[in-house]
Amino acid sequence: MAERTLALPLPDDPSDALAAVVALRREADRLERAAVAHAVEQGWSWARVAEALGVTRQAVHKRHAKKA
Amino acid sequence: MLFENLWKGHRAIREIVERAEAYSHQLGDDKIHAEHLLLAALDLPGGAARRAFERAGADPAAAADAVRWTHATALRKVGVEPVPEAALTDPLDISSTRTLRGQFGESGKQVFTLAAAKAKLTRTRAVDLHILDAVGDLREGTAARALRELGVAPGAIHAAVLDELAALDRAA
Repeated sequence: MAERTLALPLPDDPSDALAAVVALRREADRLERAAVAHAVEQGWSWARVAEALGVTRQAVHKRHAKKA
Repeated sequence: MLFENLWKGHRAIREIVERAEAYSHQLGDDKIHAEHLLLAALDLPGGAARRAFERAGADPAAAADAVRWTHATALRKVGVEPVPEAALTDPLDISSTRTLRGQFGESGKQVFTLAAAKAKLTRTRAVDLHILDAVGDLREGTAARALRELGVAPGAIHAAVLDELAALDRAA
């Protein structure tokens, strides 16, 4: 099965490639926390934030409510 | 958590977790990972882990930057340029931490479990040394890559920890 071309280059060294996954996931988490906090500050409901993230309201509330 | 059962009420453990939590927060993470425990162990009063770290040929003062360098380099390898971050506050601001109680990442759990096993073997309470030893055993992940960046050879941490434990025994 042909895989879709990656949007990012795949490092040859597996250690580098997997470390990049960790670093990107970490950045994505940080971006999510900041984006959710900003949305809530702007008056977005948890339901709307959840819809935008494509997760359940419970999931987004559990992950972000005490930190936002 | 497993470590709480093993070392319940241990002051040094509480201090390491508190500091690891502060490092996690300041480095922009939301869980305690191996690298945060490493940085916390290097801060512990008494300085046994710090001495062992130096004995292994690494500079404790460069450890936090090595962790950040590791993340930044990993991003650059896939063509993502990280935004420069502010320096860590010095001294570490413990009060700024959110409560991460129980929110350990997998590498953090692994380090604590391994450190507990090592502590049992040596029957010593040199918690910071066992944490450092356990981090030194990791082959992959941010902490392992940061140690490589600091020039730590495989096995060097373990040898240095054994030397430091022997020195503590002699002093006791």
